[in-house]
Amino acid sequence: MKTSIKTLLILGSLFFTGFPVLSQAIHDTVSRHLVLKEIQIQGYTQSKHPGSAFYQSSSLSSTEDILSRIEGLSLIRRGPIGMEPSLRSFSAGQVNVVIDGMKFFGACTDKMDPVTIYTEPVNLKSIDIKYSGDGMAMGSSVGGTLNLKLAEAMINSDQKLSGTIASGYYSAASAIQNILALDYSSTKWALRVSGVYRKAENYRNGLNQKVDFSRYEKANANISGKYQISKTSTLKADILIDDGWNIGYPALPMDVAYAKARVAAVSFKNNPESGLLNEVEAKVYANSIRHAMDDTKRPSVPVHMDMPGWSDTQGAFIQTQLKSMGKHTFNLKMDAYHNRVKADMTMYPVNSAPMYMLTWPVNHQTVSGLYAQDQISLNEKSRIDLKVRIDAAFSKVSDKMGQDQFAVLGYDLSKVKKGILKNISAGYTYYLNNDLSIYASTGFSERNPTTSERFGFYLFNRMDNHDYLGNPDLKNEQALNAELNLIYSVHNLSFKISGFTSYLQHYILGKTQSDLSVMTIGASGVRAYVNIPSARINGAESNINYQFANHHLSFNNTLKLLYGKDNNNNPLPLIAPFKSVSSLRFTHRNLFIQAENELSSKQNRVSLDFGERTSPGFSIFNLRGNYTFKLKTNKLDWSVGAENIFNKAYYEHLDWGKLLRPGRNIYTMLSMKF
Amino acid sequence: MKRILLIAAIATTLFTACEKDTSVEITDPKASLTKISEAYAIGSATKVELWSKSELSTGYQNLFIALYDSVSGKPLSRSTVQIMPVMEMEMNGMKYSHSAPFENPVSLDADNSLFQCASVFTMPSTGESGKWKMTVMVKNEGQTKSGKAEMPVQVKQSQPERVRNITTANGSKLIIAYVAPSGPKVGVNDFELAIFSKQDMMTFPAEQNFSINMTPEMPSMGHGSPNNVNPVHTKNGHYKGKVNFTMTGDWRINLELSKNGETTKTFFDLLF
Repeated sequence: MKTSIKTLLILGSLFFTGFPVLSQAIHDTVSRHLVLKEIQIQGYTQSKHPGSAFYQSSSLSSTEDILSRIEGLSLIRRGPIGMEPSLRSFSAGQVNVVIDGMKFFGACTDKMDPVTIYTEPVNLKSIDIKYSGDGMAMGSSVGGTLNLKLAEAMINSDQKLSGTIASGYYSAASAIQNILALDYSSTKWALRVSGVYRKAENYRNGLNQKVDFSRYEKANANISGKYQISKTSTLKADILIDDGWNIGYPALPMDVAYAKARVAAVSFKNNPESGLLNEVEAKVYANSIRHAMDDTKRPSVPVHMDMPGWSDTQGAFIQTQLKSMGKHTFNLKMDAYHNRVKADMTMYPVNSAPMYMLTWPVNHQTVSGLYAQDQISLNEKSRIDLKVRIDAAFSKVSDKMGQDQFAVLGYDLSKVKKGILKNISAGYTYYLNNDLSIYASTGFSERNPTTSERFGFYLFNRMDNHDYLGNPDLKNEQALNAELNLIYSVHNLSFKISGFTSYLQHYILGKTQSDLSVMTIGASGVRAYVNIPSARINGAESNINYQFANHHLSFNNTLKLLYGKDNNNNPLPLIAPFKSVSSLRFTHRNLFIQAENELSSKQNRVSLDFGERTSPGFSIFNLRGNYTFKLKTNKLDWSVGAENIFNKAYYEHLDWGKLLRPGRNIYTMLSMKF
Repeated sequence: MKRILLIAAIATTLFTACEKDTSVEITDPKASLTKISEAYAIGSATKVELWSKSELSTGYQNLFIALYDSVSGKPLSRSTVQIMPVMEMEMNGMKYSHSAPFENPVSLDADNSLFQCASVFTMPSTGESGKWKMTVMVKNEGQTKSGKAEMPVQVKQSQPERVRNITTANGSKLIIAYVAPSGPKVGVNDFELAIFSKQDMMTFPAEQNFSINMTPEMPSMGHGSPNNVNPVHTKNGHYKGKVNFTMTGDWRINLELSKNGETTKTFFDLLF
């Protein structure tokens, strides 16, 4: 297994789509894959999974590019990077995005830094996606969990020292990307060092116009070390550094001067040979994010302002799997974290004194939880998976100025806010026959309101042109989820269809406060977050993979459909329309050529109140090729492609400000493994 | 689970348990004050000291008077004290004088050895052509005669202005003085102003019947703040309300004073 070193090209492979023909012996594996959706981010050896061809995007893919191709996932786009993942239309505080199980909170009040921006595929091993409350092992969440698993060093590998170097170019934004990864492996310990540097200029859209304020620059470095303490136990340490600067957000009134993340983690793993436990893992971690918005490059800014943000999180968890007891296999986890965020704003009006306020008062959140899972093998044909989690959550605004600001709105923030978060889910798998199985699950989950929803102070939202106020008295948002999956898999064909529904209580949404006046110059009103009585989100997804012509050709397609409404039957905002992504790949020896089509219908069901407008459908085509060859002992991989071949001027419904996406984009990348 | 809750509770408490202790200290009440002037009240054998929170400037000024037996030097704590600010002006060779609104101590008893009173200085001292003086009439307990002390005082122009001398549409003259907050902060502030009318050069009765509409705004941004409470009359021409500031910077408190269907507009500026 030398795949960890090969992380240069990004081959998204979906275990799920390629899950093997059912046999009684592999019930465990299959069952897990039914629940899990884990995208392996691998080296540039191509994935053996037939479905992977579809998920393999450009070799220059960012974490976001990979996410965008998953059927249950959409991205809310405000600029060329920093897109916010939306899982089955749940986003922001409704989804739990963690890095290797570590809690992470962005430091930007305007959601410019979703956690995903701080990772690069080169330092990821896989992306694990779980919908609704299924990922509750990582924390309470109503809408799903995204776990970005970091790549690991490999002890006792075949090769002592190995590495990869790669370089690529992306024409629409004259972007470059350089990657280096080095692995050292010995019998006792191993070290992995990787780094990426990416730089993009303003990109060109489908109308051949340069999109101002869309450039960015970032570097990412990851060091991961592992030490074999004994036969059964290992110690692992990770350091992740991600620095972005001069990042343009064309759909927003401000850009980002810098976005910096520092992550450190130490974990201990033990696999006892005897006793009650199968595996024990303990981890302590800390991360810190520094973020600053910047409007100095924008012309005609009414009032120049500085808007920095800080976020620091420390946490720990211990988890174990017990040895199977009869029909039962138990997993237990205990975790706790503390997060401190603060954001402020200093405005510099011409000929007047600077103005200062807290946009996020210092908010300390402390959450500790207990999680238990029981996997029950009822019989040869069916299994049950029970999960339960309870969190104790505390939140406290600790600074006097923040408390005083909210006193203006009539809130007393001098006391700690306490809450209990309850999560429970049950899954049932039934194997109808060798080819067909059903997976059904249902659950209840809760989430805490986010810092913005609770304590945001006049945060401007460009989408609806409103200032947003937090509401410290918000109740927890609660979701009742149910889903049904049908999975069919034979030798050269696999097919999965899912239908799901979520009924949300105390759904958190901004509502206009007509008695309040705006703070932002030009804003059209003030909104405060409230719990609306209920909302409903329904949807369906499908994925098909078919191989034919003696495995030379492989066809893949995903479809997604979402529908959301509030308690008055009005459409919920930010619901992606019907979308289909298809690919046809021809493979012969070391060469493949892939044609793709992305098709989106128009979206007429929009929340006018939220400032949404209908968006037209579009269809774009991509063509990609890849050739692998040897030069002496080194393995080289060359990929080239054209995205949006017909230079279509298009945008997706979740793109803010109807900002056109890049036009025709030719890319190429060469990587070498040694 | 209990343990986790406990640990979390302790952790949370650590972040929150930082309430300040209130310690009682006995200090000289004048320690935080500035001595403005002193003089002898001729006729009552009393030394009069005039103290204030800072150097005097135009607007509403809290004043503190300390009395001492001029022979023994012992502080006197029960006395009838009456003040009167007087501006003596000279213009084109003509001399005339006028007073300004003032508030006498409410009690015969000194509060912590000081007699608290107030004066609204309606204009700054202007060198030789306009001089303020404070006259203080003192009649100590047990005495039958009162004595009078006169002290020249220097009054600066407050920056920004803390008093408005306004002639209304119907010709009446109003003096509107900003009282509080003296140290504005982000959040909810107690707002107070005092309104007097000018009956003649020496008489300035308190005005009690205005209804006031107050709207704070940031002139450089054009926005205001929510949930302000309009000042209403409490006593002696003082009106109290709540003013809210959502951020630091330049603020303007716009005021609309209405009485008998007539509205007068003015404002006070703040910077913090």
